Amino acid sequence: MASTTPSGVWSLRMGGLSLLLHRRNWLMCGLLTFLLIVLATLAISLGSGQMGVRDVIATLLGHGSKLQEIMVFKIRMPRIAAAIVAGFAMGMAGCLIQTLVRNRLATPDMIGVNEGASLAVVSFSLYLTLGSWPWWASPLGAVLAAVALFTLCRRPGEQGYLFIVIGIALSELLGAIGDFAMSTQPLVHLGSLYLWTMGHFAGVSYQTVNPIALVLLALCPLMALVNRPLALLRFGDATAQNLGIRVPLVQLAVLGLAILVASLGTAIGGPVVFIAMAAPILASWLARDNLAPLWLSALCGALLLLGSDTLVRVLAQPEEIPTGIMTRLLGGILLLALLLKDRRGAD
Amino acid sequence: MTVLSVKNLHFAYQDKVVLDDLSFSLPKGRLIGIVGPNGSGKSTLLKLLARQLPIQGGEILVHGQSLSHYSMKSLARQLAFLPQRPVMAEGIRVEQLVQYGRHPHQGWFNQWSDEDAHQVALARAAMQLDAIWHRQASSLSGGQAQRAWLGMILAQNTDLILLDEPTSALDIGHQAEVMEAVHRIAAEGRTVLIVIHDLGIAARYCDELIALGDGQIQAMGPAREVMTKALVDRLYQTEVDILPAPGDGAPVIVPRRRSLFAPLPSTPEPSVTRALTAHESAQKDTTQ
Repeated sequence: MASTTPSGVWSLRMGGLSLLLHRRNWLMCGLLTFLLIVLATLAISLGSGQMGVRDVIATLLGHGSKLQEIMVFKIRMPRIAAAIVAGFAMGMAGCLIQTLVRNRLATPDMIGVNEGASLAVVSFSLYLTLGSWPWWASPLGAVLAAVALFTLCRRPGEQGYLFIVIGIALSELLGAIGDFAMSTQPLVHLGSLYLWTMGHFAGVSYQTVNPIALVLLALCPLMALVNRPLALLRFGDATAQNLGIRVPLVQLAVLGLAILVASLGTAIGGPVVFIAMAAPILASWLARDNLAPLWLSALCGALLLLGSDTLVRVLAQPEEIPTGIMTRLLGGILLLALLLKDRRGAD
Repeated sequence: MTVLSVKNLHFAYQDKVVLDDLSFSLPKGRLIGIVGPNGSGKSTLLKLLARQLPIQGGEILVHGQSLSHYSMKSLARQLAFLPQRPVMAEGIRVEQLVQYGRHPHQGWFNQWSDEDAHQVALARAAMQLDAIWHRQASSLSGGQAQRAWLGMILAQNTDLILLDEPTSALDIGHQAEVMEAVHRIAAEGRTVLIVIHDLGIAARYCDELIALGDGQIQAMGPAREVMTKALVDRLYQTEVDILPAPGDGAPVIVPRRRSLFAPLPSTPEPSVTRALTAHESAQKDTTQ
């Protein structure tokens, strides 16, 4: 019997080492990275005080004028980097939770994790004036929200539907508390905070983006580690365990990572909804038979959020409209389309 | 050689005792069916053996080693378990499903070996998956899907295989398709422990049967010795007739219809007329 490799993969061998690379998956990752670069370049050139794409590239390569350098590196780039990093985190978190719960509706913004994160950030910035943006409060709030969710329903893999419904209730509750906290403050202080709670990327600085990007980078090896067992969880607890997976451990690790990553994504530009839901769906269309396309999902998230942010910037000029409004609009359409498609399937 | 031995196994859900002091051991290379009425603890026994439930009392030894001695992954190289209604991941093809059976033998830096390729090819051939190899698993018929799952279990290359009602919800053609496949697996020298609801199928295909009732083994041995009228009547609390099947003389068990031995009820004619009128009215509907 000939030694065959599975179809649709590249097999890398070096001595005792062997790696399988899902061909379509990696090709798509390459394509999306390329698109992301193109979109980012385009996004830098767009906006008030237009620059040509050629000027942007020249400036990026270090041949721009002083004015162009300020425009690119000080004004446009932080916002674009923020959208990419936040989208990356949201896409990843969405893929982790959706795969874990085996339900497309299970995303950090549905189950209250994002609301918990933003409530913590809002509280810290309202009641403890610390000068800088308290992005680090975000994981704290997310973990507290997750703990609350877990005391209310114990096993996420077993009862996906209940998990989501309780999560939605929790999400509403936390959102209401946040709104209440804001409504007790004089309006003048609230402008930027209010925009942030709707998902807003204007005026985000490297001081927020850089540490978050570093933490995300540090988490990437862990993601690679949980990717394989996570894919097997799609077959249900019994089959996953039969294949040698320590199911409770993997579930806990995946959930912990998802909460952390989701809260980091929220910390930058606020709780932007629907990216975490749409990115994994798009990724699974592109990857076809990859059961947990984490990286692809992260790239889709970055692309979707940067796209939404650029769109909102161009359409609303010169007004400032929160990016979250655009994602909510696009996401609402997506959700409707999904539900209607499911209904057609059921009929 | 003893592959599996169970000693004084006890299990209860809260106050309800499901398994009470169960002991048995299985040799290599046999197809053994577990039969018994609903709630007799068949699935519970299988779940305990596969470590899907915690052991409350007694001991389970796989190759002479206690179950708790194994890590999750090393146990998965000794024993494969197919749950009653396995969840099929969306968008997966048969080829991938079978390849996932190799997971317990792989690591992060050892994702595909020649042995993996060899075992997958063996499983593909044994379960006759050539025709459906590139098909979406969600598009398979019931029997095909079970053969694909069995392919995954087989690729795991374990001495002991536990199957929880792989033939339930299948028609007789697909039942035979699946049981033929299971039989081939046992004939290769693996020990297969299978929970079956259908007594006729169990008697026809299994080398030996274990009859469970009231949390205990009521009988164990070749089907012809286990399937006595007295035992089946008592276990299932109904009266049955047992006939020898042509060919191998395997017991065929059919329930005895009470009305056959009691005076017949009034004529069945009305139901026939009703059926006719329903048919006629349906015809009228279409002509209108």
